[in-house]
Amino acid sequence: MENKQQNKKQTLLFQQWKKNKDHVLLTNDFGGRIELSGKLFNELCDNPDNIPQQFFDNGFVSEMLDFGKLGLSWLNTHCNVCLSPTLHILVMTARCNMQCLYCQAGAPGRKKDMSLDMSLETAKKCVDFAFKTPSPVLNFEFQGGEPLLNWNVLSETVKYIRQKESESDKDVSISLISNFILMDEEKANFLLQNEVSICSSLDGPENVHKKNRHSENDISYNIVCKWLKYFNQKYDSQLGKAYKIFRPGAIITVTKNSIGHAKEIIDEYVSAGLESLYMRPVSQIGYAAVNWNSIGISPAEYISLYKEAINYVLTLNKKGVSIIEKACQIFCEKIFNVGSGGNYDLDSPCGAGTGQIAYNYDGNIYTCDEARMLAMEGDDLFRIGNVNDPVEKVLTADAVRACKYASELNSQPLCSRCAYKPYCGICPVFNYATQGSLFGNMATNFRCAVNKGQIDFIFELIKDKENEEILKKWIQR
Amino acid sequence: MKQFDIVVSLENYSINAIRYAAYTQTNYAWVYLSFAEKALVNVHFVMKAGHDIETVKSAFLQELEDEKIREKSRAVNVAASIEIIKNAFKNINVSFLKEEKSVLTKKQELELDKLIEEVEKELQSEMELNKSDDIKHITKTWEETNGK
Repeated sequence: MENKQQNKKQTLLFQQWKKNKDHVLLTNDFGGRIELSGKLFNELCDNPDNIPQQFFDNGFVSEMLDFGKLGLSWLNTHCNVCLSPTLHILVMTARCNMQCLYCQAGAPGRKKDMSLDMSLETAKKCVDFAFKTPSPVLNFEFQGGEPLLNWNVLSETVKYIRQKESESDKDVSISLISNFILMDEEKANFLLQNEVSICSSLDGPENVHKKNRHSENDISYNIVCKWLKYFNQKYDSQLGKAYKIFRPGAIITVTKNSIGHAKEIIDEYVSAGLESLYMRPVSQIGYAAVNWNSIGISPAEYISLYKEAINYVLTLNKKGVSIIEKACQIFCEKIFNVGSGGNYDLDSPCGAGTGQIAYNYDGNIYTCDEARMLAMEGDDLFRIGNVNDPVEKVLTADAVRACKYASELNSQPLCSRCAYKPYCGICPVFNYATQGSLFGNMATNFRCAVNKGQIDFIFELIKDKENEEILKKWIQR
Repeated sequence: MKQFDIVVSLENYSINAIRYAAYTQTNYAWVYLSFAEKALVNVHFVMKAGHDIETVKSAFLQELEDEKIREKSRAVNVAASIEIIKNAFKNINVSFLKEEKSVLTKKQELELDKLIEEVEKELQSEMELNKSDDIKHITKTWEETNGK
């Protein structure tokens, strides 16, 4: 449709942009994204008479808005506010058999106190609670501490979930986050047969992994590699099986020890047979805050390593190696597909209490796992109830509403004017833990600097058509 | 500590624009706002260590200009956004209602499928039986009755 209404008074809806040398990136909350020259931007601002068609098509002109299309785009990126939690994190135990330098879960040093284990009765109540929430999709995630330390309760809970699933109309998935130290063939078979997807932590080559993740006799690295390979082989040979096997996943926590090892980290993942890696910087929360001088990393250091890593991944892709980086994939999903990306930390508002909830070992419920970790440090601010409370009361608790308000980017002075608003999100728990308020201050916020650095880099990358094509393929996976 | 002042006229910029532009520089400087003479605001910067006065000054002035552009369309933008989001919620309500209509559990759905299959089989076998007694060839197709 041509812009027939040119004669009428038009208002250009320019609210968020980023100026970069001679060009401007202009975005809106409804999927609109235009890159234009600084000259054109200034001309339009001074005199909006000859507006190019693409500004009408992308929802930047007040008189020609396609409400249906723009509304759908908004829904795609804000779907978590319209649902109830899909991710239900069950902390099987607060005990752990490792002592990682960056642990946020308050687990180090707690090895033998069995009162920190979730009872089967509580676990079943958590499951019942989740099934009572209205979401048609439920993802149960077993975490800790180290969840395998409470194997009997974990395995019984898996059976209970599958039984409840067969009696309900909900789509259910189950995942386990483990350091694998207590993994054995019997447990592995049980998990595979019950379609539990598996994820672990692999921080890179042996020397880097060992520095970050301390275990008795330093066995962690070999054990993680062994079981990642095992689950990978099972994934590759699943033809004819009556159950579905998922490819195992792993995440990297980037610390000062990772600097200078970007390529080796990627090579480690490729040699472990993994096709994706998820990089994230260490957060100055919990035990990591205590060890910040030895492991802390600045946003600039992280971005420098991140760029090196992604450039190397793209080089491998061009040689035919199949591997992607998840954080980059999430941002690309938001940039190219106007989707949510599936990461509640990067939604606006964030998914605290609406996309996810976390059940601590004692049955207390928190807005998210970070909130639950903060509680392990003695601060219960984000507790929203208990498994014995009615669902409605928990999901509408004060802390849920406070998190919604604080993480809605339009209520943040800097974010509301930021060109990257449609691709970004903030974490009120992180803000509270590191800056003393749920809103935080984005001018000095660590995560804001990291997210901006990553998105800057992606926009730089996609100036190259070949890179753009590769990154678009990442989001098809 | 390095310090400097910028005086801004309220005839050119709103107080909100000045306040926002000042806030954007709080990573680099402590910023204090006070009314100077009539319709003038004094913006006082106390630099934080390691940052450059000229960079902060030009960034502050640029933010003021940018905020002026945003203010031109802010009210229209907010009204349009609210309408778009309202519209989006209308759509999601409809799709939720549709989903809620399915009240069967997976187990019940499987049982129902099984029952339907059994009934279909019974009907089929009855049809087969009836066909043999079908003197008037009612159950036969036109091709079966008239074809060569």
